[in-house]
Amino acid sequence: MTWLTPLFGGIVLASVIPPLVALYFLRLRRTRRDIPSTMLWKRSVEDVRANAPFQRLRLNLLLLLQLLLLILLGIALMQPRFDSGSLHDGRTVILVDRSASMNVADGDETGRTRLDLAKEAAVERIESLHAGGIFGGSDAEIMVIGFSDDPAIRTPFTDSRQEAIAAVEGIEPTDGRSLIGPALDLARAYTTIVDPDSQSGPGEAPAALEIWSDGQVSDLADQVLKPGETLQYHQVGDPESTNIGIASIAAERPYDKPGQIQVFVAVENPDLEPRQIDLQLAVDGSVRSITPEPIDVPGARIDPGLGRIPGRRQFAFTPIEQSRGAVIEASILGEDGLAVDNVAAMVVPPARRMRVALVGLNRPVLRSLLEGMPLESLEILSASRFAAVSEDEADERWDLVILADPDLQMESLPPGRYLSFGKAPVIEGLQNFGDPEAGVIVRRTRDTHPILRLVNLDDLFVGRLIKVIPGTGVTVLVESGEGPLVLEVERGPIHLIHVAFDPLDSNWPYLRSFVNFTANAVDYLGTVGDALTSSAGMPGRPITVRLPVDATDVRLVPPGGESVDLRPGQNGLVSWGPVRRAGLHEITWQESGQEDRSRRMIAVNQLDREERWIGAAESVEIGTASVQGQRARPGGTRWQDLWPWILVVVIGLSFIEWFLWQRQVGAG
Amino acid sequence: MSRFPDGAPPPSQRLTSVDQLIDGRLMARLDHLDVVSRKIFNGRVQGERRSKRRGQSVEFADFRPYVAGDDLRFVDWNIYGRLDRLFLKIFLEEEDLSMIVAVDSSASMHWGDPGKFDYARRLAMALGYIGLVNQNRVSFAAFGGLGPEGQPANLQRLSNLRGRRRTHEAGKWLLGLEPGGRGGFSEAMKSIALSRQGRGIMIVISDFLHKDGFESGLRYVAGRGYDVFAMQVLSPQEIDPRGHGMSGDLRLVDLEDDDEAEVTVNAAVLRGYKERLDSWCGGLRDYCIRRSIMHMIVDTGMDLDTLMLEYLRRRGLLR
Repeated sequence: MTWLTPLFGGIVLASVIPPLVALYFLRLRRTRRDIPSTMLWKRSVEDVRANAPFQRLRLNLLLLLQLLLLILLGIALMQPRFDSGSLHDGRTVILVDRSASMNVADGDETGRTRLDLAKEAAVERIESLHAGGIFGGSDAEIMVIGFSDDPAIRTPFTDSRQEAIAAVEGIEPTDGRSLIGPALDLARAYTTIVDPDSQSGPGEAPAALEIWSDGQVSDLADQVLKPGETLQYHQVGDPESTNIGIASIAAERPYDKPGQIQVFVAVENPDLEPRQIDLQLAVDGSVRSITPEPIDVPGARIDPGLGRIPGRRQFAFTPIEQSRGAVIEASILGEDGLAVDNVAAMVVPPARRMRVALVGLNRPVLRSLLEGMPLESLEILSASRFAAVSEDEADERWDLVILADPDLQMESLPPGRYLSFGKAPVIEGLQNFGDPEAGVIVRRTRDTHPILRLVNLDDLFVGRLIKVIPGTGVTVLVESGEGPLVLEVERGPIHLIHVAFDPLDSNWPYLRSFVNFTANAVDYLGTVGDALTSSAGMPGRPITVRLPVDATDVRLVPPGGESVDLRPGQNGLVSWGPVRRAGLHEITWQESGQEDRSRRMIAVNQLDREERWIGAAESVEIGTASVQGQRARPGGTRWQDLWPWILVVVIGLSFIEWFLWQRQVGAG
Repeated sequence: MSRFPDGAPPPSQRLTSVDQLIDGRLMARLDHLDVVSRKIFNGRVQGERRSKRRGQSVEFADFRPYVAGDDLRFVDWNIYGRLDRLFLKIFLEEEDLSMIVAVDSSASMHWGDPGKFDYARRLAMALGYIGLVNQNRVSFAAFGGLGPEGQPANLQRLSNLRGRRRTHEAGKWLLGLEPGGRGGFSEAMKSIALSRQGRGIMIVISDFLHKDGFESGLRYVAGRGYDVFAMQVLSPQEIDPRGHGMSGDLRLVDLEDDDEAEVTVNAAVLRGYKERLDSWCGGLRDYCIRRSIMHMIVDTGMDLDTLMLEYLRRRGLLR
């Protein structure tokens, strides 16, 4: 037990009790009454004393009660408290993990989530750090950050306990990934002290970092503590919790049966024990298929170099008839630790053939390839004609544009899906540099990407590579010793696959892989990159969709949330986010000339591998240091103020004193 | 000057005339009463009361043989005629009754409403009047307090009054008494008992709240053959303090010795006081019974007429 303001209470007691005693004696200045003889009275008083237990106490019972009341009030003013949290007068950064794995309900027996428990434990910690109480203060400064893949400072450094507690209690769960790097960057920005008079530049006030998390933070090992910083890890959750989840979902319409949809689901088991699961497929909310027999998912294996590798099982549902667009939802039946990764959804566009434009009049190989595909239309454009096309027209006229004209000059790409060859188009993240490189061969490819399915580039020889610097958010699919060969860029409504050389400057047209690559690219960009499915995303990323220019009264309804009004830009783009929760997001809008509101569904899935692993880590690695976790007390007591209970006792004693006083007065 | 502060029961208005002690109406009623003695005593002079001594009265007592020198007027000649022997008729001689009324004038009597001392004086006056009317030899005594050497102080006497015409003298004497002094009951009773030659009725009027006890004092008077009546005078405030405003935190001061008692008057204390008072009075009553003393509690709240004409007649003191 600690006392927050012992001096204050002591002063009050010292200044109140003597006057009370004095008043008591003054109050007992007895009335003189002459009587014939005191003999009988004295004896009767002696009899009363002799027959009453604690007669001396009883003599001054009211005084004793009043002294007791004052002492209790003094104690209440001293603000006694339970628990013995260590006080810390410096700066403390409270980092509360709010990622998807913190939604696991293994916090305690009552079914509270890890986040609930973490928040409660963090509040306890704040109260112990911030022993200010009502009548005193503390030098502790606390910053509260909720982090997932999108950190948010709930409150900057504050010496207000209530503000810090409110900040913690206001942290809401997300289905995002757990990244602590951005959160630490934010915290350190606030610990930097800029002194204009200092010659040594800005300094940093060291802060104590305290993390409430399950320890499954993907980038924690990449962080390094700065001098003076300390890290305390409060482990939340059960290390033995198990989970299994959907790792990926894909759907495609068979080449020869565009009226059908085939759904592919990959399931990962991060636990060592193998599991059996049942998968269910629903279309627009109606169950269409369930796996006929349980699927065996192997357990994870420990690789000496790579660590734990989860067991993976892929499953393909039997193609279903669905010529119209639909929301496909695959789910794992049964319950496990984390529910959000048991469901994955995607929006599949209606069955229709693609409209493709080829920019480049002198491209016979590509042209012949495309003419062999079952396309709805193929337009051959010159560079100048394509450059004259407006932004809206490019996105609406073609499902895919192939940029193969080296003379194309555009200030920016209009929204759309592109496959480009040779010189990089103008887009953020791609920049040509240096002289072309000759004699380039492939060093590494990302075989799992759909666009490289059945593509063997071992024999590829590039005679002239136009080197490109990949920026942030650019995925390198094929890499050579001289630089990237194939890259993928997503920038809002623009989705681009760029090949950093002209096929005519290589032996690629003579290889079978060129045909497969082109077909894959057309299929990948034209289908996945459809306007309806391009908005499928992940928690932590924003939703950006392109609506008709005349769309008004745009509203977005997140899963289980309230409608949000959105304001579209001039080009019809609307953005919202970052997305906090996984699930189906619905965007509706009003178009001129139409009575009904238009509607578009956007699926957001939590497919992150780190979040799927929900066993709480008993220690975490930060840089080269290992920090042992302290179990956050499940259902632990907060700093328990005693003064309300003391006041209750005081009130009770007051009633007793009043009763005794009334009894004495009534006796007269 | 009154010693009672606010809240204490005031003493009755000071008595200034004999009429205030006993008025004509009461005197008329008392004319028919007489004091009853449970014993027959020898008196000094012939009176209106039987005596153990054989003498000249109309009431025959016994016979004895004649001896030379006897008064021939008392020879029973009828027996001589029948038996031819001389016998003398012996008659009970009628003597006057010695009656002592002792009034406690200590400070403790100067309390209550009606005041105990005034009530005691009126009672003494009424009893003395009855004695005087019935030709008894009435003496008054007032006692209260001890002298510096332990002798009774304030012991005043008015002795040997007889006849109705001494009523005013008795009244003036009683009016002249002043309350005061402490204790001295035992010494006063001893002094009264030793100074009295004859025997008779002694009526002691006191509250008997003596810290040194009442036993030794009563033993003096009872042991000398007095037909003693102990009349314990208590005020209503003493009998029922709760019903008369005794409450709160009080500093009780003894009127006689200024002894103090700090008392918070509550139900338990009042209950204890009542028990102690009953025990004290019970002890006095038991002692009196053992010593053949008639004990009576007189509430000063009782009307004096009622006391004299009903209560004391019922208790056998008067007839």
